[in-house]
Amino acid sequence: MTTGTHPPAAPPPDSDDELLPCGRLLSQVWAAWEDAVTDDHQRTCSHCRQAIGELEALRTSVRDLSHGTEAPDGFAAGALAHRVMDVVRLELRPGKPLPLGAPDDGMWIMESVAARTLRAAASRVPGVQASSCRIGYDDADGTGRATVSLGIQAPLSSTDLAELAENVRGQVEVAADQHLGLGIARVDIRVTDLVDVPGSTEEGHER
Amino acid sequence: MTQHAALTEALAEAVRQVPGVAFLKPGVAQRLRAAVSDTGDSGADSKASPAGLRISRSDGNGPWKIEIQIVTLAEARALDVTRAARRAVDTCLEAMVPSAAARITITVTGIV
Repeated sequence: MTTGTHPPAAPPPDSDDELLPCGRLLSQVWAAWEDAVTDDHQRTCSHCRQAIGELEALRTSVRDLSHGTEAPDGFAAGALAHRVMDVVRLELRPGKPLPLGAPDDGMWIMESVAARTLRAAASRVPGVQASSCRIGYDDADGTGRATVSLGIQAPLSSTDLAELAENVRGQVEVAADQHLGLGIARVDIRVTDLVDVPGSTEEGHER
Repeated sequence: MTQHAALTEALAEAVRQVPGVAFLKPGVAQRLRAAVSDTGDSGADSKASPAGLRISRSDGNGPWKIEIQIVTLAEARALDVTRAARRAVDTCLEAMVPSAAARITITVTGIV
Protein backbone atom coordinates (compact mmCIF):
# COMPACT_ATOMS: atom_id res chain seq x y z
CA MET A 1 0.00 0.00 0.00
CA THR A 2 1.28 3.40 -0.84
CA THR A 3 1.07 6.44 1.30
CA GLY A 4 -0.89 9.51 0.37
CA THR A 5 -4.54 10.35 0.56
CA HIS A 6 -5.64 6.73 0.56
CA PRO A 7 -6.60 5.25 2.90
CA PRO A 8 -8.11 8.50 4.12
CA ALA A 9 -6.60 10.46 6.93
CA ALA A 10 -9.31 9.42 9.35
CA PRO A 11 -7.97 7.02 11.94
CA PRO A 12 -8.60 3.36 11.30
CA PRO A 13 -11.00 1.64 13.65
CA ASP A 14 -9.53 0.49 16.90
CA SER A 15 -8.83 -3.16 17.29
CA ASP A 16 -9.72 -4.95 20.48
CA ASP A 17 -6.09 -5.03 21.46
CA GLU A 18 -5.68 -4.05 25.07
CA LEU A 19 -3.00 -1.78 26.44
CA LEU A 20 -1.88 -3.33 29.69
CA PRO A 21 -1.18 -1.01 32.65
CA CYS A 22 2.54 -1.62 32.13
CA GLY A 23 2.33 -0.14 28.63
CA ARG A 24 2.55 -3.31 26.58
CA LEU A 25 -0.10 -4.51 24.19
CA LEU A 26 -1.87 -7.70 25.10
CA SER A 27 -1.28 -9.10 21.61
CA GLN A 28 2.47 -8.43 21.90
CA VAL A 29 2.68 -10.17 25.25
CA TRP A 30 0.79 -13.17 23.95
CA ALA A 31 2.85 -13.36 20.76
CA ALA A 32 6.12 -13.16 22.69
CA TRP A 33 4.98 -15.93 25.02
CA GLU A 34 3.94 -18.18 22.16
CA ASP A 35 7.20 -17.53 20.33
CA ALA A 36 9.20 -18.10 23.53
CA VAL A 37 10.90 -14.73 23.25
CA THR A 38 9.84 -13.21 26.55
CA ASP A 39 12.18 -10.67 28.07
CA ASP A 40 12.99 -9.79 31.68
CA HIS A 41 10.11 -7.34 31.91
CA GLN A 42 7.58 -9.89 30.78
CA ARG A 43 8.90 -12.52 33.16
CA THR A 44 8.59 -10.25 36.19
CA CYS A 45 5.73 -7.86 35.35
CA SER A 46 2.56 -8.83 37.19
CA HIS A 47 0.35 -7.48 34.40
CA CYS A 48 2.16 -9.44 31.71
CA ARG A 49 2.17 -12.59 33.84
CA GLN A 50 -1.56 -12.25 34.43
CA ALA A 51 -2.14 -11.85 30.70
CA ILE A 52 -0.09 -14.97 30.00
CA GLY A 53 -1.99 -16.83 32.68
CA GLU A 54 -5.24 -15.90 30.97
CA LEU A 55 -3.88 -17.07 27.65
CA GLU A 56 -2.92 -20.42 29.11
CA ALA A 57 -6.31 -20.73 30.82
CA LEU A 58 -8.00 -19.88 27.55
CA ARG A 59 -5.94 -22.43 25.68
CA THR A 60 -6.73 -25.10 28.25
CA SER A 61 -10.42 -24.29 28.19
CA VAL A 62 -10.58 -24.45 24.42
CA ARG A 63 -8.71 -27.74 24.47
CA ASP A 64 -11.14 -29.15 27.05
CA LEU A 65 -14.07 -27.78 25.11
CA SER A 66 -12.97 -29.53 21.96
CA HIS A 67 -12.21 -32.78 23.78
CA GLY A 68 -14.28 -35.63 22.40
CA THR A 69 -15.92 -33.51 19.74
CA GLU A 70 -14.12 -34.94 16.78
CA ALA A 71 -16.04 -34.18 13.63
CA PRO A 72 -17.33 -36.96 11.40
CA ASP A 73 -14.76 -36.13 8.75
CA GLY A 74 -11.94 -36.75 11.19
CA PHE A 75 -11.31 -33.11 11.94
CA ALA A 76 -9.07 -33.27 14.98
CA ALA A 77 -9.97 -31.62 18.26
CA GLY A 78 -6.56 -29.99 18.29
CA ALA A 79 -7.29 -28.35 14.97
CA LEU A 80 -10.47 -26.88 16.40
CA ALA A 81 -8.51 -25.41 19.29
CA HIS A 82 -6.05 -23.91 16.80
CA ARG A 83 -8.89 -22.34 14.85
CA VAL A 84 -10.47 -20.83 17.93
CA MET A 85 -7.12 -19.38 18.99
CA ASP A 86 -6.64 -18.04 15.47
CA VAL A 87 -9.97 -16.23 15.75
CA VAL A 88 -8.91 -14.72 19.05
CA ARG A 89 -5.59 -13.55 17.63
CA LEU A 90 -7.26 -12.15 14.53
CA GLU A 91 -9.64 -10.19 16.70
CA LEU A 92 -6.82 -8.62 18.65
CA ARG A 93 -4.84 -7.78 15.53
CA PRO A 94 -7.33 -7.76 12.69
CA GLY A 95 -5.01 -6.30 10.08
CA LYS A 96 -5.49 -3.15 8.11
CA PRO A 97 -8.75 -1.52 7.15
CA LEU A 98 -9.51 -0.63 3.55
CA PRO A 99 -11.84 2.21 2.64
CA LEU A 100 -15.21 1.26 1.20
CA GLY A 101 -16.85 3.83 -1.05
CA ALA A 102 -15.43 7.34 -1.22
CA PRO A 103 -12.18 7.69 0.71
CA ASP A 104 -13.58 10.15 3.24
CA ASP A 105 -16.91 8.46 3.90
CA GLY A 106 -15.70 6.78 7.06
CA MET A 107 -16.66 3.33 5.78
CA TRP A 108 -14.13 0.52 5.96
CA ILE A 109 -13.69 -3.17 5.44
CA MET A 110 -10.92 -5.21 7.01
CA GLU A 111 -8.42 -6.50 4.48
CA SER A 112 -8.70 -10.05 5.81
CA VAL A 113 -12.46 -10.02 5.22
CA ALA A 114 -12.21 -8.67 1.69
CA ALA A 115 -9.36 -11.06 0.90
CA ARG A 116 -11.42 -14.06 1.96
CA THR A 117 -14.17 -13.08 -0.47
CA LEU A 118 -11.72 -12.55 -3.32
CA ARG A 119 -9.90 -15.84 -2.67
CA ALA A 120 -13.22 -17.66 -2.76
CA ALA A 121 -14.05 -15.99 -6.08
CA ALA A 122 -10.71 -16.98 -7.59
CA SER A 123 -11.18 -20.56 -6.45
CA ARG A 124 -14.42 -20.79 -8.41
CA VAL A 125 -12.35 -21.17 -11.54
CA PRO A 126 -12.12 -24.94 -12.07
CA GLY A 127 -8.92 -26.43 -10.69
CA VAL A 128 -7.69 -23.16 -9.18
CA GLN A 129 -6.84 -22.83 -5.52
CA ALA A 130 -6.21 -19.31 -4.26
CA SER A 131 -3.58 -18.97 -1.57
CA SER A 132 -2.32 -15.52 -0.64
CA CYS A 133 -4.28 -12.34 -1.26
CA ARG A 134 -2.98 -8.90 -0.39
CA ILE A 135 -4.98 -5.78 -1.05
CA GLY A 136 -3.44 -2.35 -1.28
CA TYR A 137 -4.13 1.01 -2.83
CA ASP A 138 -2.88 2.67 -5.95
CA ASP A 139 -2.81 6.44 -5.67
CA ALA A 140 -1.47 6.97 -9.15
CA ASP A 141 -4.82 7.80 -10.70
CA GLY A 142 -6.12 9.55 -7.59
CA THR A 143 -9.15 7.32 -7.33
CA GLY A 144 -7.94 5.30 -4.41
CA ARG A 145 -9.01 2.05 -5.95
CA ALA A 146 -7.60 -1.17 -4.65
CA THR A 147 -4.85 -3.23 -6.15
CA VAL A 148 -5.06 -6.94 -5.54
CA SER A 149 -2.10 -9.28 -5.47
CA LEU A 150 -3.28 -12.84 -5.65
CA GLY A 151 -1.31 -16.07 -5.49
CA ILE A 152 -2.90 -19.15 -7.02
CA GLN A 153 -2.16 -22.80 -7.57
CA ALA A 154 -3.11 -23.72 -11.11
CA PRO A 155 -4.01 -27.16 -12.38
CA LEU A 156 -1.16 -29.03 -14.00
CA SER A 157 -3.44 -29.74 -16.92
CA SER A 158 -3.68 -26.05 -17.83
CA THR A 159 -2.68 -25.44 -21.41
CA ASP A 160 -3.02 -21.65 -21.35
CA LEU A 161 -2.02 -20.02 -18.08
CA ALA A 162 -2.66 -16.53 -19.43
CA GLU A 163 -6.25 -17.44 -20.20
CA LEU A 164 -6.61 -19.09 -16.81
CA ALA A 165 -5.28 -15.97 -15.09
CA GLU A 166 -7.71 -13.84 -17.08
CA ASN A 167 -10.59 -16.02 -15.91
CA VAL A 168 -9.44 -15.68 -12.31
CA ARG A 169 -9.10 -11.93 -12.75
CA GLY A 170 -12.64 -11.72 -14.05
CA GLN A 171 -14.02 -13.67 -11.08
CA VAL A 172 -12.14 -11.47 -8.64
CA GLU A 173 -13.30 -8.24 -10.25
CA VAL A 174 -16.92 -9.37 -10.32
CA ALA A 175 -16.80 -10.44 -6.67
CA ALA A 176 -15.14 -7.19 -5.61
CA ASP A 177 -17.88 -5.21 -7.31
CA GLN A 178 -20.95 -7.34 -6.62
CA HIS A 179 -20.20 -8.77 -3.18
CA LEU A 180 -18.06 -6.06 -1.63
CA GLY A 181 -18.46 -2.83 -3.57
CA LEU A 182 -14.71 -2.44 -3.54
CA GLY A 183 -13.25 -0.53 -6.50
CA ILE A 184 -10.45 -2.49 -8.13
CA ALA A 185 -7.75 -0.83 -10.21
CA ARG A 186 -5.63 -3.88 -10.92
CA VAL A 187 -5.47 -7.58 -10.13
CA ASP A 188 -1.98 -9.07 -10.22
CA ILE A 189 -1.95 -12.83 -10.35
CA ARG A 190 1.02 -15.01 -9.52
CA VAL A 191 0.88 -18.68 -10.34
CA THR A 192 2.78 -20.10 -7.39
CA ASP A 193 2.48 -23.76 -8.25
CA LEU A 194 1.11 -26.22 -10.75
CA VAL A 195 -0.72 -29.02 -9.01
CA ASP A 196 -2.27 -32.22 -10.20
CA VAL A 197 -5.83 -31.65 -9.05
CA PRO A 198 -8.19 -34.62 -9.34
CA GLY A 199 -11.22 -33.53 -11.30
CA SER A 200 -9.61 -30.24 -12.17
CA THR A 201 -11.94 -29.88 -15.09
CA GLU A 202 -14.85 -29.83 -12.65
CA GLU A 203 -15.85 -27.09 -10.28
CA GLY A 204 -13.20 -25.18 -8.39
CA HIS A 205 -12.81 -25.21 -4.64
CA GLU A 206 -14.32 -22.50 -2.55
CA ARG A 207 -12.40 -21.60 0.55
CA MET B 1 -30.06 5.90 31.84
CA THR B 2 -27.39 8.40 30.83
CA GLN B 3 -27.43 10.06 27.44
CA HIS B 4 -24.35 8.06 26.51
CA ALA B 5 -25.97 4.75 27.43
CA ALA B 6 -29.24 5.64 25.76
CA LEU B 7 -27.47 6.68 22.58
CA THR B 8 -25.39 3.52 22.60
CA GLU B 9 -28.45 1.35 22.96
CA ALA B 10 -30.40 3.22 20.29
CA LEU B 11 -27.55 3.15 17.78
CA ALA B 12 -26.90 -0.55 18.34
CA GLU B 13 -30.55 -1.33 17.74
CA ALA B 14 -30.71 0.92 14.69
CA VAL B 15 -27.72 -0.78 13.08
CA ARG B 16 -28.94 -4.28 13.93
CA GLN B 17 -32.18 -3.52 12.07
CA VAL B 18 -30.40 -2.64 8.83
CA PRO B 19 -31.01 -5.31 6.16
CA GLY B 20 -27.81 -7.17 5.46
CA VAL B 21 -26.35 -6.63 8.92
CA ALA B 22 -25.89 -10.01 10.56
CA PHE B 23 -24.78 -8.64 13.92
CA LEU B 24 -22.45 -6.22 15.58
CA LYS B 25 -18.94 -7.53 16.03
CA PRO B 26 -19.26 -9.97 18.91
CA GLY B 27 -15.95 -9.47 20.71
CA VAL B 28 -14.99 -13.12 20.98
CA ALA B 29 -11.60 -12.58 22.59
CA GLN B 30 -12.90 -10.44 25.42
CA ARG B 31 -15.77 -12.83 26.13
CA LEU B 32 -13.51 -15.86 26.18
CA ARG B 33 -11.02 -14.15 28.45
CA ALA B 34 -13.82 -13.14 30.78
CA ALA B 35 -15.17 -16.69 30.76
CA VAL B 36 -11.89 -18.28 31.79
CA SER B 37 -10.71 -15.69 34.30
CA ASP B 38 -11.27 -16.31 37.98
CA THR B 39 -13.33 -13.20 38.43
CA GLY B 40 -15.26 -13.36 35.23
CA ASP B 41 -13.80 -9.98 34.39
CA SER B 42 -11.43 -9.84 31.44
CA GLY B 43 -9.47 -6.98 32.90
CA ALA B 44 -10.67 -4.70 30.16
CA ASP B 45 -13.44 -2.23 30.82
CA SER B 46 -16.29 -4.63 31.34
CA LYS B 47 -18.77 -1.78 31.51
CA ALA B 48 -17.71 -0.45 28.16
CA SER B 49 -20.03 -0.13 25.18
CA PRO B 50 -21.16 -3.40 23.62
CA ALA B 51 -18.56 -4.98 21.36
CA GLY B 52 -18.88 -3.54 17.89
CA LEU B 53 -20.05 -0.14 19.05
CA ARG B 54 -17.92 2.49 20.73
CA ILE B 55 -19.02 5.98 21.52
CA SER B 56 -16.87 8.64 23.03
CA ARG B 57 -16.77 12.40 23.35
CA SER B 58 -13.71 14.36 24.19
CA ASP B 59 -15.73 16.89 26.15
CA GLY B 60 -19.34 17.78 26.84
CA ASN B 61 -19.68 19.97 23.77
CA GLY B 62 -17.31 18.27 21.37
CA PRO B 63 -18.32 16.01 18.51
CA TRP B 64 -19.33 12.46 19.24
CA LYS B 65 -16.88 9.86 18.00
CA ILE B 66 -18.83 6.81 16.97
CA GLU B 67 -17.09 3.61 15.84
CA ILE B 68 -19.27 0.77 14.64
CA GLN B 69 -18.04 -2.65 13.59
CA ILE B 70 -20.46 -4.91 11.79
CA VAL B 71 -20.60 -8.40 10.36
CA THR B 72 -22.63 -8.49 7.15
CA LEU B 73 -24.52 -11.25 5.38
CA ALA B 74 -22.77 -12.79 2.39
CA GLU B 75 -25.80 -12.35 0.16
CA ALA B 76 -25.72 -8.59 0.67
CA ARG B 77 -23.21 -6.19 -0.89
CA ALA B 78 -20.93 -4.95 1.85
CA LEU B 79 -20.80 -1.37 0.55
CA ASP B 80 -24.59 -1.11 0.30
CA VAL B 81 -25.05 -2.48 3.80
CA THR B 82 -22.47 -0.11 5.19
CA ARG B 83 -24.11 2.86 3.50
CA ALA B 84 -27.49 1.81 4.87
CA ALA B 85 -25.98 1.46 8.32
CA ARG B 86 -24.53 4.94 8.00
CA ARG B 87 -27.95 6.34 7.08
CA ALA B 88 -29.49 4.52 10.05
CA VAL B 89 -26.89 6.05 12.34
CA ASP B 90 -27.51 9.53 10.92
CA THR B 91 -31.25 9.14 11.40
CA CYS B 92 -30.81 7.93 14.95
CA LEU B 93 -28.47 10.79 15.81
CA GLU B 94 -30.80 13.33 14.27
CA ALA B 95 -33.60 12.05 16.48
CA MET B 96 -31.63 11.82 19.70
CA VAL B 97 -28.97 14.53 19.55
CA PRO B 98 -30.03 16.75 16.64
CA SER B 99 -27.59 19.56 17.29
CA ALA B 100 -24.51 17.48 17.98
CA ALA B 101 -21.75 16.87 15.45
CA ALA B 102 -20.43 13.35 15.09
CA ARG B 103 -17.49 11.63 13.46
CA ILE B 104 -18.66 8.22 12.40
CA THR B 105 -16.76 5.22 11.14
CA ILE B 106 -18.38 1.96 10.15
CA THR B 107 -16.18 -1.06 9.53
CA VAL B 108 -17.07 -4.43 8.10
CA THR B 109 -15.15 -6.89 10.27
CA GLY B 110 -16.71 -10.06 8.96
CA ILE B 111 -19.00 -11.56 6.35
CA VAL B 112 -21.13 -14.62 7.15
